[in-house]
Amino acid sequence: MDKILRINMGADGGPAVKTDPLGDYAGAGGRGLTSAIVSKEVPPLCHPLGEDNKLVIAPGMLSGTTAAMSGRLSVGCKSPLTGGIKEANSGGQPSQMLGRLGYAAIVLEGKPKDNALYKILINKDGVDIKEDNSLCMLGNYDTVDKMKAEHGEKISCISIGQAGEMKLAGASIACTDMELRPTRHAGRGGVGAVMGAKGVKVIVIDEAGMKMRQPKDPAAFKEANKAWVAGLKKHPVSGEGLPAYGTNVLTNVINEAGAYPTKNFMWGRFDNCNKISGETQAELEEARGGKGAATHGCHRGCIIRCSGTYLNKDGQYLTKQPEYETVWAHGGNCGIDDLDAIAQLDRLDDDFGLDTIEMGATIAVAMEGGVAEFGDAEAAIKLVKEVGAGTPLGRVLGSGAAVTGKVFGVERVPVVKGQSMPAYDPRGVQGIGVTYATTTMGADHTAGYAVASNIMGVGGSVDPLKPEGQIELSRNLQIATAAVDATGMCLFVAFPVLDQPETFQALLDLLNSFYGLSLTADDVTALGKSILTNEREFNLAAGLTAKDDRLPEYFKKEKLPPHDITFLVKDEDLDQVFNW
Amino acid sequence: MKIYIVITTELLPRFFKLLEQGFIVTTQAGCSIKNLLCKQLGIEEAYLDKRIQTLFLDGKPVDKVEKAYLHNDATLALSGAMPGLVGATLRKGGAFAAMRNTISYSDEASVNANGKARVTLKLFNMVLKELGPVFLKSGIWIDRHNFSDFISHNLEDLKPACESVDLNDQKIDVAALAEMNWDDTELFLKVTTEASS
Repeated sequence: MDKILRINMGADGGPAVKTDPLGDYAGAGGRGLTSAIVSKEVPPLCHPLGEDNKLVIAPGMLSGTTAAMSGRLSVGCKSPLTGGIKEANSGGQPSQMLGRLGYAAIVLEGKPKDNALYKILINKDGVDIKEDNSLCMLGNYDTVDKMKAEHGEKISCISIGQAGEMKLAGASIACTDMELRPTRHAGRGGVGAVMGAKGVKVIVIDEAGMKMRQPKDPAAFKEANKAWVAGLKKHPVSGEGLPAYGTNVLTNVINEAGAYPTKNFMWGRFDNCNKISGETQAELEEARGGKGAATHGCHRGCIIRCSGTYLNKDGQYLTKQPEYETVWAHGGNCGIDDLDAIAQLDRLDDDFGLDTIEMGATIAVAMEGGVAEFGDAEAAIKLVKEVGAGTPLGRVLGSGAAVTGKVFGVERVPVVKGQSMPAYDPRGVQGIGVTYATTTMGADHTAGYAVASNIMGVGGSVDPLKPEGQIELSRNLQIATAAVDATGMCLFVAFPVLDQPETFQALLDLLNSFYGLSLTADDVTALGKSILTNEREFNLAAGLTAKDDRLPEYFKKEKLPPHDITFLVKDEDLDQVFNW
Repeated sequence: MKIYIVITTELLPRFFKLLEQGFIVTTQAGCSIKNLLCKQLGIEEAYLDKRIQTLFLDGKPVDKVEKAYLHNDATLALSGAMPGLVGATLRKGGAFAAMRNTISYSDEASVNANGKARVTLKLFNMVLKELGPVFLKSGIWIDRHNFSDFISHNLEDLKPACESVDLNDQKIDVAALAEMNWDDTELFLKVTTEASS
């Protein structure tokens, strides 16, 4: 990965391709690289859908190697949803393939002068860009099928659906999985709208003829990977819970804690949650698909295998195993307790290219605004179809919860910096509220996800009874997460890294033996801080201020049952998160 | 009412749904979680320490199982270690417990230690998979509505899988369970994969 592919979509005479050396960006990967390029090259005050914004697609530092779990892809730009910097993250095959083709990043620049739609083929021979308006307003599934017919089954695709073409702020970018289905998404922040604005429908990646990336010290790398895999497999979360139930294993637990946002964040518990729990979902998937249907990886080299295959009642493929956040967003948050309906909504989101969290939160806001009744699954499906069809109502909904709340006069709109909160009520788990409020990304649970912060030496010793401890924890988690996002590692590695010092060491050894470095935990911390500093400075220059680092007012006023608590962290404490 | 079902190994996990929804155990009010689980229900201390990583008493995350006390009508939920930040946050005595301190179980909570306590016990995820067969074999008290719903939703799959069904020691057909009007609020259910003597 020693080059950056730059494609100027607005060049005279059609898209112009240039390959640059890494230069100042050498050593960066994943979120580290996307945020570095965006913060350095994108004018903070530009329009997110304008020619000056750039869409940066970057594999992680270890993507394309044999390191297990290294297949995450980062997508960065100025977000049309938040107005700030964005890094959205996806699994699937493209990251590994781009890494093997040697690209540290693809940067889409400029903007076509007409409404032409392009497909881009990247292979060992270079880059081929063709106008293909037959792809116009196709869903992701049909788009990928067309690419499969043209280029065979050994490709991977990065694509947008109708939502991205319509430049809706809830639009995602799809990445294909091992079965060449567009099921993995860089979901958050409207990155799909930016790809749509660049006029790019699909990027086809063909790694034929390429080999695994080779480490500087192959023996040490092999040894480190062995220890890494052993550490991941022996831990009960990555080795047992996630493979057995997927991320939806969280439904029962978050619900029991009273932190499961229900019916647009009105309650902390959903009475029928056991109907949509991970336990129920896994049983249903195995009953329809046979043993093992609930355990599947999203890319080659994934050994946690937290995904699965969801068949419909007739035994036909419907979608991948919906994630916890999706089941929550379209399920409990909308009062819906029907797994088949939720899976149908997941399929529609994937096909239209929509962020499932944003769409579920938006429909719940619309339900509170009287557009449909809570619990009405058919109405929810119809609303998502309106988005895909681009009706006026659909375009409102596809623009996200904040816009929808304004249109329908709803006060209870659970967003920060315009982005919907995920599946954990910040009144129940106050510490995550600190992260929702202060992260550079808008409300985002994955921004402070890397629970390995204490192992990295940035956790410190926190008094659990003092509110300021939550500020320190959130800060350290955000630093650690930014660093992990740069590696291309799936965030689910965090638990074994937290509990098993030797597994954290194995991760460092992987990086060091691959790049010939001698990174320590302090260096990783410094990397996380530098990424956050880039992002924070971009946001400040884009006009975001401390007032944007706040939860909506109602979280401080409305008590959340069953614990009957409000969000208690003070504004002045929130302002200390980035004081390091 | 006492129900005893012998079922094929493949379909035994189907009954886990009832344990996920919760079943009743009776103990002395004021008894600690550790006492209930280890002394009364026979769960090994090592299992409690290592495998039951997340516990909720009345929805409050518990950090010290020996200092969390049960009262009448309490609900106790048991889970393995959970993924993600919030999973880590809710974990027993975890490094991130500060992030949910407003809902944590407090040691100072006072409990009336007089009389018996009926506790609803819920099992989730890996704990459900591992302890479920044990509890089903020894028998559980469950809500009749939960049982009725369960039977009616699963009847077609249960029919070929049930080797025998006893209701108060009388053999009946599993289909008859679906048509029963239960008088008792709670039913005692035993499910095994092989008939016991």
